Amino acid sequence: MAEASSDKNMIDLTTSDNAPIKVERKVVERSILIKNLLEDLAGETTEAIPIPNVNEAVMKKVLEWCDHHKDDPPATQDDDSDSRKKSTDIDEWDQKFMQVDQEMLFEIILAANYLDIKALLDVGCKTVANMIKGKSPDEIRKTFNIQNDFTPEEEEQIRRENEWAEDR
Amino acid sequence: MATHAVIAAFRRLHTNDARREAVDALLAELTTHERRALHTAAALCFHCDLVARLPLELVAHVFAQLDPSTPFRLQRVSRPWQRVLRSPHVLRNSLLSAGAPDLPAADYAVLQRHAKHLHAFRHAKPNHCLAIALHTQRPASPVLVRDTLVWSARTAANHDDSRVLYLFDISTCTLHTLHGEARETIQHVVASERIVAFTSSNSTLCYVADLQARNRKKFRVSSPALFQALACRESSVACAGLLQDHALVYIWNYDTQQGTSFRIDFGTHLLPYPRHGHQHRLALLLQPQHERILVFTDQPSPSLPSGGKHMRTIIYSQYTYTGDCIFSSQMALDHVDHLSYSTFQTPNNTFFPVDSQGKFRVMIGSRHLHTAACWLQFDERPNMFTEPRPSTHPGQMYTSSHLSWWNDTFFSSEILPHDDASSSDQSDQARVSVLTQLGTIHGSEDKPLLLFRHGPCVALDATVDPFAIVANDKYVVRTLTNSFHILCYQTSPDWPSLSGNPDSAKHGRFFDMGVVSIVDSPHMPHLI
Repeated sequence: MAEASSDKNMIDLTTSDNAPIKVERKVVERSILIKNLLEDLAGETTEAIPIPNVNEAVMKKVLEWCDHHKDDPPATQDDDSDSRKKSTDIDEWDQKFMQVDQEMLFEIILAANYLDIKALLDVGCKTVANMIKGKSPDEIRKTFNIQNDFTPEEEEQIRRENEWAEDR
Repeated sequence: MATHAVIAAFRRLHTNDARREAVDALLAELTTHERRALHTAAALCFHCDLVARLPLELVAHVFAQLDPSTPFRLQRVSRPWQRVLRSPHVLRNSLLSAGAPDLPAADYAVLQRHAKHLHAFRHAKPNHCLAIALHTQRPASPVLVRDTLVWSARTAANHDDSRVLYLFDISTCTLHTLHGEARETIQHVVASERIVAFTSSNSTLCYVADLQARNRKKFRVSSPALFQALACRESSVACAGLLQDHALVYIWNYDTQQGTSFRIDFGTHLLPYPRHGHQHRLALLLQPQHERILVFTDQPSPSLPSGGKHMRTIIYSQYTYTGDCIFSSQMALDHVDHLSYSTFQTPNNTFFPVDSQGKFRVMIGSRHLHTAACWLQFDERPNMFTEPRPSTHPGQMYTSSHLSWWNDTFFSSEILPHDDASSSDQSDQARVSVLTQLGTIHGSEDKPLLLFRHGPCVALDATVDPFAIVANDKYVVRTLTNSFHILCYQTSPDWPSLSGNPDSAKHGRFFDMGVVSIVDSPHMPHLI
C-alpha cells in the first residue's frame, strides 16, 4: 500500500466491498468529503482511504462522472439564482451517463450525497424529477413498479382532497 | 441441498473479481430458457421506489425541481408516497423553489393553502375580479404593496394635476386618502409594505405615512434636485440627485425620523466625469436590512458598434449608509437600440419587487414613448441584472414594456379591434383591451384573463401604459383610463351592500368615486 501512494497525484481508495481503486487526485477531489479529508491529511496519505458507504460498482460509476467533470469550475456558493431553469436542462453527457437502472440511480444519488458532490447530486435528483414530471399516479406506479396499497375508497378520497392540483 | 452447496461456495468468494468470474461461468452454463427467466427476474428487481426509499431531504431536492402542485397530485400513488409527500420538509422546499416566501414553522394545512394559491396564480385561475369604474378621475402611477393599492388621481379637468393620494386596502375594502399640507401637486410616489412616501411640486418636502394614511410625517432636503430618484423599503426612504460637483444620497427612517446623507464624488467608478442636469439620472435600491444602498446610473458605451447603434451601459455601486463603496459593477445593454433616450427618468426610475426573494424590475428608456421603453430585472442576492424570462427568451436581458410579472408568471396588456363592432369605420370601431397570462416556466400558454370593451370615443393611451399592470402573489391589477380591474387570487373581498344576481356580477357604489362590480371566477374571462 505504501508503495502504491508514492505518486502524489494518485489516491488509493477502498470501497465498502473491499475493492481497491486508484484514482487521480484531481478527479476524486470533485468529492468535497474526500477533498477535505486529503487536506486534513496534508500529504500524509500512506494508506488507502476507506469509503465505507459506497461499493465498487457505484464508486467506479461516480468516478467516471468526476473524471468527465474534473475541469469544471467549482460550484458557486449561490446556485439558487439558477433554480428557475429547473429540471428540463441536463447536460447531454450527463443525460447519457444517467441512463442506468433505477437501483443504480438510487445508489448514485446516495453516494453523491455522502461524498458531497453537489453537481452530481443535482443531476441525479433532476433525473428522478424528469421521471416523475407530467405522469399520472398510475403511470408513476408503472414506472417505479409500485403496488397501490390504497382501497379504491381511500384513493378516491385523497384524489378529491387534491383535486385542485389535477387541473392544469 | 445441492443449491445450498452452490450458494455456500459462492459466498466463500471474497473479492468482487472472483464473484464476477463465478457469475460469468455460471451464466455460460444456462440454457436459453433459464437465461430468459433470469432476464425477467433481473429487470423487475432493478425497479426502485426512489421516492419511498430516498432520505427525506433528497426527496425534497427532487420535488424542488417540479411544479409545487405535483406532491399533492401524487399523494394517491401509495401509502409511502402519501407519507413522504405530506411532509412539511418536502412541501416547504417545493414552495420555496417556486418563489413563495419561506414558511419555516408551517404545518400541512398552511403549506397546502399556499400551494393552492400559488397554483391558482400560476394557472390563471383568480377567485374574483373587482372592477372599479371611477366617475371622473384618471388614476395615475398605481403601486401595489401587499393588500394595498396606491394611486394618485388626476381630475378630468386637468390630467396632469394629482393632488390626492388614494390607499385602497383590497382585502378589507377600505379606502384612505393622503395629501400634502397645501394640497400640492403630487410628483413621485413610492411605497413599501409599511409606508408610502411622495414628493410634491416645486418643493423640497417629502411626505411619508403608513399604509392606513396615519401618522403623516415629512422630511426636507436641501435641493429639489435630490428628488431625481426616490426609493422606499421597509421603514426607510431614500432620495438622491446629481448636483453641480457631486451626487448626494439621503436616507431617512420613518420610525426614528433621523436622516443620514453621503456624497459620491465625480471621478469614481459610478460617476467617472462631471455631469448634471436632465440628461443623466439616477435610480436607487434600498437594502435597509444590511444598511446598504445601490445607486444606478448609465452612460454611453465606450465604443459604438458598427451600424451606429447607441449602446448604453448601466453602472451601479453598492454603498454603506456612511458612503463607503462596497463594490461596483456594470452591464452593457446591447440589442436594445432605442436607448438613445435617457435612462432612469423620474419618476419611472423606481425598482418594483417581482418576487418575495429579492428580485425587482425597473424601467429604462423613454418616459413618453412607451414603445421605446423596456423592463430590466435586477436580483439583489447576487446583486446583478438577470434574464427576466430565461426559459422562453434565454439571453435576453429585458422585456417589452407592456409585460408585467410576478416571480415566473407573466402578464401582457394589449388592445385589439373588437370583431362584432357594428361600425366598419376604423376610427369608430370599438376595441377590446385584453389582459393575458403568458404562462410560467413549466409551460408558456396564453390564457386570456380579462376582456374589456371600449367605446369608440375612449382615449386608449392609458391602456398601453407600461405601469398599467401591477402584480404580486395575491393580486393582478390592471389600470385603464377611468377604471381598475383587480384580479384576486387569495382573498375574496366581502364588499358591503352589493346587489345583483349571485350567479353573475354584483354591483355597488365605490365610495363616492364610482361604481364597483365583482365578477366570480366561473364568469371569466369576462367582457366587461
